[in-house]
Amino acid sequence: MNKPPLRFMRNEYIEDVTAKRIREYEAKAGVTVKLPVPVEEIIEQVLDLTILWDAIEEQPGELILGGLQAKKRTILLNETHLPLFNEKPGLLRSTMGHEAGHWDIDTDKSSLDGASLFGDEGEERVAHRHASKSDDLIAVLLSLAHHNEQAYRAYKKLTAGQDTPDQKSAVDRYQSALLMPSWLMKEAATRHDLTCWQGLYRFAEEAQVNISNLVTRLHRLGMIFIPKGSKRIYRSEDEYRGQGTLF
Amino acid sequence: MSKQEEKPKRFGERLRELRKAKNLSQRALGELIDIDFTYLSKIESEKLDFAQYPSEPLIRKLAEALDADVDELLLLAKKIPPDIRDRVIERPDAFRKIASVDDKTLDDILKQIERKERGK
Repeated sequence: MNKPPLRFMRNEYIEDVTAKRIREYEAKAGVTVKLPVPVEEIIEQVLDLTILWDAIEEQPGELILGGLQAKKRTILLNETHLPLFNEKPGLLRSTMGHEAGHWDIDTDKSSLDGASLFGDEGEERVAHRHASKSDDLIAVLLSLAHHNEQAYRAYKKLTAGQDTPDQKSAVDRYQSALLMPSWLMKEAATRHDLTCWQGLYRFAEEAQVNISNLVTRLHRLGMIFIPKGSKRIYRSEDEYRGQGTLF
Repeated sequence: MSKQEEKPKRFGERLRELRKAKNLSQRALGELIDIDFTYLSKIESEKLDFAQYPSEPLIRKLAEALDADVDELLLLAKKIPPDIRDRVIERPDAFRKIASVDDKTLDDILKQIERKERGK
């Protein structure tokens, strides 16, 4: 299967890739994967990537959780945020999955072996992951940048090395499909009540993912529907529409 | 070990190889021998200063947990196992000679020693 450009990467393609990775791990380790998906093991055993915990330098206002050093086949995790990761294991797992996605569907492996035009420059560019906190700061700087040279320079510096929207969308769908494969989600759904938040929180705990990550995934799989601006959970959009037309 | 059976030359690389062969994550191995998994990741990636390098007791614990050859790990970490160190001190002339011969001669000497051991 040829790799499509990120912009046109359909969900089906990403689901196929992540399912293949899980099956490869099952064959290699001689196990049947259950929730929580062993993302660290898949990264090491199947993708043959190294995990390194080290401090990643951040600009004021930035929050960088991890990065991919593709030439070194290394996922770098920001040791500075270890307390945050310990507090939110789902965040750590989604960060690992996100960086694995950069390697698996975003990185052009054929370009990694060739010599650089500029020689060995040591540290290559790290594909950074930013949290919403820094996105807010960028938005503010961008609005200032139209009429402020200094803000424009700060904006360019801050956004260098960040994911483009296409990258972010594709690798986030990758991490979501890897951590929450459709067949395991459907099987686990029989054990949880998906129409109440308590049930969803239990489900998130079983899968070891953030609640927002879980909700997005269940939405994408058509297993729940939450109308915009509402907190009420429906089993499907049809159920919601049906309820709406009753009155 | 002859040239033909060459293994990775770096301690961290070999450690990662052994851990992966056991299908242990960094966190799982760290818990097993009571060291921080972030430190383990740095050992494997050779991202340590000299002072932070694993001690001999830690290397022994790692070898035990991974069913590995402790001498091999100690030597890769550039630490001389005590029995070898003692022997070098006793017979520096012999070790100096051994260090100067090429791989083929060394393999021949090893074969002779093995034959002698089998004949015992």
